[in-house]
Amino acid sequence: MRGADVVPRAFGPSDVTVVSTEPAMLDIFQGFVHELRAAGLPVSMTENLDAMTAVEHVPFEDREALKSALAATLVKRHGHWKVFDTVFDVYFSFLSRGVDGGGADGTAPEGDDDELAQQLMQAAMQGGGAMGEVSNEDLARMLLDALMNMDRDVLRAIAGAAVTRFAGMEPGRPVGGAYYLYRTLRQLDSEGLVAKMMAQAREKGEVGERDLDERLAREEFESRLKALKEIIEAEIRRRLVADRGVEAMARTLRKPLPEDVDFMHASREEMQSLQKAIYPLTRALAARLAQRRRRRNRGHLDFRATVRHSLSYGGVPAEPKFKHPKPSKPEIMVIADISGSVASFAPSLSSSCTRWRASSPRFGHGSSSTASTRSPSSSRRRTRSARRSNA
Amino acid sequence: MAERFESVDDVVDRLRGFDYLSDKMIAGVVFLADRLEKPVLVEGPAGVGKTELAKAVAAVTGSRLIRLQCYEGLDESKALYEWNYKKQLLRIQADREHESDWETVEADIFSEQFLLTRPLLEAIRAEDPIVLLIDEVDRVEIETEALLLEVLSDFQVSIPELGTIVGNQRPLVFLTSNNTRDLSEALKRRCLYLHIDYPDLEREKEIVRVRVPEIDAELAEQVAKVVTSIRRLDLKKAPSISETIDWARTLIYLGRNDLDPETIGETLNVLLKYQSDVAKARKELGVDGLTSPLAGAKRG
Repeated sequence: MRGADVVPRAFGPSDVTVVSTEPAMLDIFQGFVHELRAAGLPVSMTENLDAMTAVEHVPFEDREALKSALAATLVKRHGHWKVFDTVFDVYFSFLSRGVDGGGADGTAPEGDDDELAQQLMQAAMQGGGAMGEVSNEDLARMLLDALMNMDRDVLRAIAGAAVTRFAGMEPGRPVGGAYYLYRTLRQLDSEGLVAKMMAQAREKGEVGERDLDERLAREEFESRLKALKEIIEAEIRRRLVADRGVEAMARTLRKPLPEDVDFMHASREEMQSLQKAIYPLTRALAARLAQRRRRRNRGHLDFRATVRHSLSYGGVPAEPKFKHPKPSKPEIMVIADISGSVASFAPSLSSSCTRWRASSPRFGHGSSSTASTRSPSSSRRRTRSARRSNA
Repeated sequence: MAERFESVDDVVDRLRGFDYLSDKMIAGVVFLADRLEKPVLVEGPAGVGKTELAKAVAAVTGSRLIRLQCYEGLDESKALYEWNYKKQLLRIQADREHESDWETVEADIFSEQFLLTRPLLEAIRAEDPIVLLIDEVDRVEIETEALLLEVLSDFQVSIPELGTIVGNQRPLVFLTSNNTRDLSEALKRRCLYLHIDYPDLEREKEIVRVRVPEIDAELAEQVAKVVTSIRRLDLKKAPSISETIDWARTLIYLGRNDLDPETIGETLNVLLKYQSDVAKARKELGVDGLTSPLAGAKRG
């Protein structure tokens, strides 16, 4: 670490003083770190210092590099990435390329030779009122073209225009933007876009006859649609931040970490990330149990073997030998309720059991998956199932 | 200390020269590791190139790679140093006639000659440029992890009989973890964190083309697409990059230039390692019902 230009002060609301970073920038970074802490990320003072040192090594205008520098020093768990991502987007939205001149450079993207995009960019910059020459149908057509060619710059321009036109954003409203996103996407007919893309690709003969080709093409288009959604979301967020300020926006968007999500109110996505957060715990439990067993495996001294072995060292018992006890194998029964009322946690519990079994060798491999594969919603009455496995 | 890389782009370019395709995130962290002189903790699913990254960086910077493979039960005598007690015993035995007094013997048996250096000590004492790789650090117990802390933060070790040995360089250090357990905060605090995930379609295609030069662009794209599609399924073990490469090689050896359902059905076993996963993928990809000689052989 280049300690010379970093002077730590006492613990406090702002942990650090970095001499060579401009004060205004430092405020932004410290606000950012504060928001991360408020969102629940355990950012220590050392990590804060590291981050401040790290950002001095990357060009500030390079958004991606800045993001990777901050992420590497501040986020030490993959599960926290999403929270970091949101906070970063809010705090450094002024670095992203906007379409209404509010971006870092305020100009059209470089290296763009597409005339249409330029036109659109112009139109978008002039705001909704001046976009008379681009009709809704034209916009939809352009969107489809852009998606077919996956031209991100054009997509960004279209997203800007669409948000201006369809989202109906009202300044000053304390919202997170989900409703604006929904409105914009509905007007752009996001549901029908994949089908339209498929149809166009089929017309051009880009998609083969086989089911497989169709599936791959559909997945490709779905991922493009997802990219479009992200672009629109970023655009809405950027405008909201410009309207309401960074801190208010960050507070609105604050979401609990995967490990803090309330079980009963978790969405499907949250459940998935929850499963991922639980996964290491089950492994840790299995590892701990296996370790205890292994330690017990070391029995008392085997005198005869030790003496026999010591012959090669001239009678010095250099390497003691031990007897290995043979413990009886445990019989484990898991009794679980997998009825509808516990539908949200039953799958994660049963998969934990399976993993636990898979990772501890003594836990038999008997066929006992019937209970766990049964879907909780399908069984109306309360089912009690016993799983029994013999090692 | 000479800086090893000029910029993030420099990292990307040079790694590419050694057939390692990084992205901005990976290159950015490697660059920072060089500048901040901090170790990098690399996490991610198995087979996404965590270890490969360390090897590639070693190759790029012209350094020797010192590798410490972690496992449960690893202790300081295996990681750091050990006194060669068998040799010490023999030395004492050889002195049965008491030609030299005990002080001399004691000084003698705790000298360099009787010290067995293990990877960490070897790395600290190295004179030539090195890259230290501590592989699968999540396998050691939490108590053993503490032993790494001194090495990671100050790059030195304290040996009671010899004193503190300080490294004369700050090498790049990579720790990899498969996330089987949470590493301690103390360890994480000392490291830069890098999560490598499965690559996106474009990067995977590039990786296949670089690693399997015989493949043509179209087949590489198909391979990447199918693998991406398979990864979306809920599988016990998603295919890793190395398995993608194996699969691409298999297709080349079999002389297939087009990925038709039959070919996929026949060779899915290269990609997926659980029979239930294979069955699921076959069903989802619409290659179910086709007989597969490879799958049959494995089942039997």
